[in-house]
Amino acid sequence: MQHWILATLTCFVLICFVLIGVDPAYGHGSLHERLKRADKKISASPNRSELYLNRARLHREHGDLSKAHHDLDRALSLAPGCLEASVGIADLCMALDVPEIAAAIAWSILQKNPENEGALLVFSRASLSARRYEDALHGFDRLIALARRPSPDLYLERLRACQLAHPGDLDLAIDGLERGLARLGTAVALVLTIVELETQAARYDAALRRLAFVESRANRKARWRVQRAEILVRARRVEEAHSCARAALEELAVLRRSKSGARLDLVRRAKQILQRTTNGSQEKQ
Amino acid sequence: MKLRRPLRCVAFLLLALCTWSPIATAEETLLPFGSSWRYLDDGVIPPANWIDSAFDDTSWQVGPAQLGYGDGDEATVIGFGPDPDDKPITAYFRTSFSIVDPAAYDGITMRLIRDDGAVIYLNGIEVFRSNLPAGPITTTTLAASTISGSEEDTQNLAVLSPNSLVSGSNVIAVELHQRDSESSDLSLDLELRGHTASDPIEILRGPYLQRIGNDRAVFRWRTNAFTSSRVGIGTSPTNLDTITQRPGLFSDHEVEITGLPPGTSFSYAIGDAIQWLSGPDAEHRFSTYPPAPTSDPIRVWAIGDSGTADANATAVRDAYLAFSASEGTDLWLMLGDNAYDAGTDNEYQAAVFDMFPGLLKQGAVWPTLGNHDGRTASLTGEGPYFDMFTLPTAGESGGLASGTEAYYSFDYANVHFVCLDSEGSSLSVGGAMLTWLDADLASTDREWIIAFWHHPPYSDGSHDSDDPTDSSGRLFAVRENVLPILEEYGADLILCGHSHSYERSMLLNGHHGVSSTLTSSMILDGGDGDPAGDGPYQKPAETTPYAGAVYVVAGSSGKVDDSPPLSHPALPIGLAQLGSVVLDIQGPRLDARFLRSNGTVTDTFSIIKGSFFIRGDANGDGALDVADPITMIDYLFQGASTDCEVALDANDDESINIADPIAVLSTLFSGASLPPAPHPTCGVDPTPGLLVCASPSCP
Repeated sequence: MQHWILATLTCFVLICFVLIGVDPAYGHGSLHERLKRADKKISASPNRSELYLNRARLHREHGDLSKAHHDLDRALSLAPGCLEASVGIADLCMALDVPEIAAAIAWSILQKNPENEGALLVFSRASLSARRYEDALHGFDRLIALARRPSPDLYLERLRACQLAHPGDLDLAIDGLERGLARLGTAVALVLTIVELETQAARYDAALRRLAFVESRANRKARWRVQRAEILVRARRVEEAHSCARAALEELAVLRRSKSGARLDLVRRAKQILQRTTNGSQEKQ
Repeated sequence: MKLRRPLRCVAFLLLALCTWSPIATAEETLLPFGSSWRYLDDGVIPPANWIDSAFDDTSWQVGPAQLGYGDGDEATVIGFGPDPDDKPITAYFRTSFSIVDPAAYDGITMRLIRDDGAVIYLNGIEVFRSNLPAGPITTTTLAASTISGSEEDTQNLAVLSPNSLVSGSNVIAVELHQRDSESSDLSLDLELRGHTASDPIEILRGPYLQRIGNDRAVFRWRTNAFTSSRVGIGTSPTNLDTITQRPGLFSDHEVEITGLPPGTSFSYAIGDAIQWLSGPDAEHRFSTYPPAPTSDPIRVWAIGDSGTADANATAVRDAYLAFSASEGTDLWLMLGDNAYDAGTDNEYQAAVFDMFPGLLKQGAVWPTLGNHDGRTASLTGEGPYFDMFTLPTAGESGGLASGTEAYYSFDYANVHFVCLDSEGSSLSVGGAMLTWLDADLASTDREWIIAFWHHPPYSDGSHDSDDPTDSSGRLFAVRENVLPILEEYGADLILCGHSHSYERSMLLNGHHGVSSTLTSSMILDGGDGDPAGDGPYQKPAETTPYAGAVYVVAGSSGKVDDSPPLSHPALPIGLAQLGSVVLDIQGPRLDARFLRSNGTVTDTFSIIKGSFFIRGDANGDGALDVADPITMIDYLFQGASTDCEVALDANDDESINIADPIAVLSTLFSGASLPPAPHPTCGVDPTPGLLVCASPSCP
């Protein structure tokens, strides 16, 4: 009897799947569906803070910042001191372009939770937007120090704070990126940023050494040769620049990248260098 | 849903079978299941030193495990305050066990039953975390996912270091976190076994290969004790002539061997200083990646949103293994959401390591982060995903150094693979990832570029690429910021997941807006790309900018969330079917198939690269006329040269002989059929052979 009931139920479920055309592997549904479910849950239990937190996340994902803010406020009023809601509100203030308030909220969270990554990130970014550059720099430094594997992006954000806090102090800026390389190894995004800074600081040999390393790892060299030639021009090493640009042009000539904007740009830059260095050589003579 | 008693018995038996682990039980039990625990269940936050051995917990309540509420199987039902709809998020537990000599142990095997998330401390030091985000944990931190069904009784296995043990009393402290305060249940039980030198060493995970390159491979595995790590490799199982031992004792082992010859097959074994624990045998083999160029075929398998660890994922896997039985697998890509629901270590064990043991043993898996994996991965690169995978950061497997495991590139023969992180890294132009991407693509000389990440630029599935708020705008960001760079450097194929369906574009270029902005000029080839249909997509030789790419959403390897119509105009193929993507690349040809979980192929497309020419147009003037057979005769009998031999092969028999001018003359004067493709329009050879076209011969 029980087997018969089980078999009937199984058949019924399978027929339902066939009739409504739903794959039995149906999963978690769209954002709108999840929002509807969150609304329903809140209607049933209007005093549960985490339901508002969850819906705030969904509103945030959907880009509805004012609704997200409302839910975070409600979550915080139901659970005073809730860290997730507090950080969420701080982050939301950043998204709403009120960085001063975001920084203040994040700062207050950090007084009790000095290692909270979310609060530190909001604090650092909000301080940067609010033009409190030293605070931002300190925040990024703290975040980087706490992170087991900081991302290259954190170092670039820190650099921006550093350059705004200490304009013109290239040593300080480069030092921060150097520390990034010491922890991350050769992160190309950081290396190329240092090359730019070192070139600005007229430390041409250092910049060329770094660029040579990138070039040595590249199967195609043209881009790096053009950049090398440009640095050599700034260093007034005319003959080296000339031969470097020539080598780049030779490589570019055999590439079948006729429509590439990047290739055309490289060709233009290399030719400019050739022209300048040829004139320079003639003037010299 | 409550099961009736007989059914529960069956369920428990099945569960016991499912959660059975191969660890021998000879280890000494230090703390048995069902031990007595002190607990704090009233929502009060204990002082910060509650995890310390010296903390006085005598005011806490006491009872035997299993502790918790809501399941009916608790030995001690703990409280949750007056409001069942507002239970405390965190409950606290402490217990102790005694040992005489800590040095007697080389590992502690822990089996943890937790619902939902837990942090374990041994004598005041965090030794394990499960189903909780990386970073600092507070009393309001929510578990990463809800634990339900059979997971509630799963024994999460971990091997703890014996370094934190002390002589005498040792204190285990646990904080247990709910996913939400409405959660109906909460559970804790925990067993500790001490592993001594006389107990057998067992492998709990792997071996699995990582970060293979032209000259290297990383070997990883997990044991039930902290042991030394040793790898032997050689050209045959009986000749492991290169032995590498890593100093130190580990339970999660990681050994890299470098200096290997490229494109070479090896047998291997892994073990400790005394014995091999796995291999060598016919199953333990791998190959270093071949250097470019190679004419050998390459088989790539791509699965997206595959981490369900259920019958769906099993069916997709089995269909592929059957399909690929005679071919083998050279590369394997995971397109994110690799282990539901939150990418915990235990979920990865079920969804990846228990699901694909054979594939993991013989080749590296190359994963990307999905939004679900991201729930336990922090913005600072911590969490199970980053712990269990060894991915390139310094260009170890080709490409330029990214400095992070979140995004990377690698080379396999004539293919450059790029893995981006659309979940946690900045997608801004000028950000670190896109700066690296631009430099990386400028530096590659490989014939093919295949990029993969999680959030698709185009989709009308469970995620909508026309909705600027979907996934916090990530679909828009990848389309607007990433695609222009890939197009500039001539990417050929983009593989994504996220939507739980299969969707596929035609050959596209320059479509960076919402679906309504698609214009005919962006469709470089509107055909289906099927060799048996409209014919393969054709691209110029090498990586050529703006020559178009095919975009694939392959997020249905574990679940299907969508039902037709999937109607993005750039994605004419839309299938609500479980399956995976199989790529075969040989020289200038790429063949792609969507392989359903039932073993059938429901979409096929090919991309062929080569110089463009018109078959039979021997002099390259764009027309088939009497000058062409004369050019052919000059080539055959007068020693004239040509830059495009294949244009002279008018009958496509892969040789140039007198039959070719005769075929053209027959077409011109006897009404015979036109030469095979490409003809009369310019194109690449759809059946590439030995004859070449060194430079395009189209006018």
